[in-house]
Amino acid sequence: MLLAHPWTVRAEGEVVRFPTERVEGRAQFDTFFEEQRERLFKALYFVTGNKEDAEELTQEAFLRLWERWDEIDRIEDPTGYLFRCGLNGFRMRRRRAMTALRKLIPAAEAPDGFVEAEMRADVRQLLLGLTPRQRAALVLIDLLGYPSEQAARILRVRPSTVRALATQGRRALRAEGARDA
Amino acid sequence: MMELREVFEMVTNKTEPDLDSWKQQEDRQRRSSRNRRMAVLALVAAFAIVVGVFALTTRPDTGPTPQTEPPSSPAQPLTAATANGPIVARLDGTIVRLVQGLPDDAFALSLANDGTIAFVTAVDSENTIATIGIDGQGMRTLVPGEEPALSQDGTRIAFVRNDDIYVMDVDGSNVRPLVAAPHRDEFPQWSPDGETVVYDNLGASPATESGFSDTSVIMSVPASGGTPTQVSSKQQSSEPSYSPDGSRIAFRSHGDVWVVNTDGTGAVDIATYTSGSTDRPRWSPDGTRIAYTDYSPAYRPDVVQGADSSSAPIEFVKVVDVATKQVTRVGRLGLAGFSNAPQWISNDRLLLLVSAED
Repeated sequence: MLLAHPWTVRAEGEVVRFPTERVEGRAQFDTFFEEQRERLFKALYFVTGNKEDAEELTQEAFLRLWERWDEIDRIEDPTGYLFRCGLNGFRMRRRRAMTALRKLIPAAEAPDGFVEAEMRADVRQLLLGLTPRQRAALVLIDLLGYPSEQAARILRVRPSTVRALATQGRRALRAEGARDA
Repeated sequence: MMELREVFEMVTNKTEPDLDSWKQQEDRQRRSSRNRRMAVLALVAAFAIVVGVFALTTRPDTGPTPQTEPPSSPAQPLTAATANGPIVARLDGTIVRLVQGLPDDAFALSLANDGTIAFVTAVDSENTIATIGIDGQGMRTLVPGEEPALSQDGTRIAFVRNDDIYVMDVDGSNVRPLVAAPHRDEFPQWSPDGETVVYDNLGASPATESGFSDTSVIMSVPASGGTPTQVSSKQQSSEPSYSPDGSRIAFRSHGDVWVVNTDGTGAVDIATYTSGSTDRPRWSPDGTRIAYTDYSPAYRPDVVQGADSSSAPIEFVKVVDVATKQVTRVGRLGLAGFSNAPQWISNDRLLLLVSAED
């Protein structure tokens, strides 16, 4: 099924015209898209706690990759590039959202995430106890297996910061496990 | 203990992307794009009318025009929006020219007196140190590593790998460990004579979310190897750099820029942070000023003139006069955050990386 492909429109609003001469590249991209879309979406959902955000970030990440698809041979790790784009997008979007919140409602709390997800109450509690940055560090290091130097580069923080974030996340997981016991 | 993968599966196993929403998003964006194009067309038309009226009602000025150095390329004035990457800027923020030839993901630039730039780029998804001339010629990727610092004569590079300090020749040969202390060693910089490397060690306290440790201190070590010594007892100190005469060291501590003599005496707080922190101080060649980056959580992309919102620069470049402590901001440029230090080219020009685009 040919979907409403993510590369047809930029997130910023500019329409990207699909280059018809890149038919072969498009077929490869379609395959890659089908293989990775759900995986990236789920990772971004885990980080953002918001389905719409995850969908838009997934879309933007594939768009970024499509824009470089004709030089895909020079991208050593397209999957890594895709996840970097997605998590980079999250980082920048979150900053914009937080500053907007601060501007409008100084004391506002960020809304609870994961409202769509069906899960145990204790797991929801655990996730909401982690910050999105901690969840992002855990996804990069513990789920995707990035070294902390690489994870730090994706999140644009120091390596020591990303290690601290992941450690705090793991500690929260341990604490929740202890409460279960 | 809950396993992360178990939690991840629980959270995401019933959450699927809603493909209809992609179509809706596309429709929304098409409408938005159309509206934006109409607005731009209206603006252009209005501008053309104004220019036409102006041309008809004024005589051309035939008098002499003061000569200022034009930007080398392109002819139009450069802004942060068009200068997406490394640039050369005057202290008033005027962008003199773009620096070409660096890969899009280059960051952590370091500049030597001979015009060599060292930086970090990803090779096989691994952070790798590379060099290029400031004229954009002769790029070479060298070895895996981070936080490169060129010696001032451009012959050697100190860098960080696996939390330790290494040194190599500028062509990537002769890689050798310089400091392998417990805890993380980071941010090496050379003394002007190339005899000493100064850096910070995080110490026993873990770094906070902001990346700083309460126990981090400034250290120095002979560039040929030897026992590191602590420069001052001031804690939470990091990101040191030498004054051009080699007598003092600027560094960051508790969010401020400090200056201390190399023997650890005479520490002075020289630039106070406002709501965020000041980072990565670098001395001007004449030693009278220090450029640094200034981060505040309040800085938003849209306050930075002409900035691309997707690159979201969040740090400003500031210059403090060492004698008077007077601070001025370098134009309205936003700097790519967290990894990039301003690099002096001359006493009135800086090499800056103004975007965080991947």
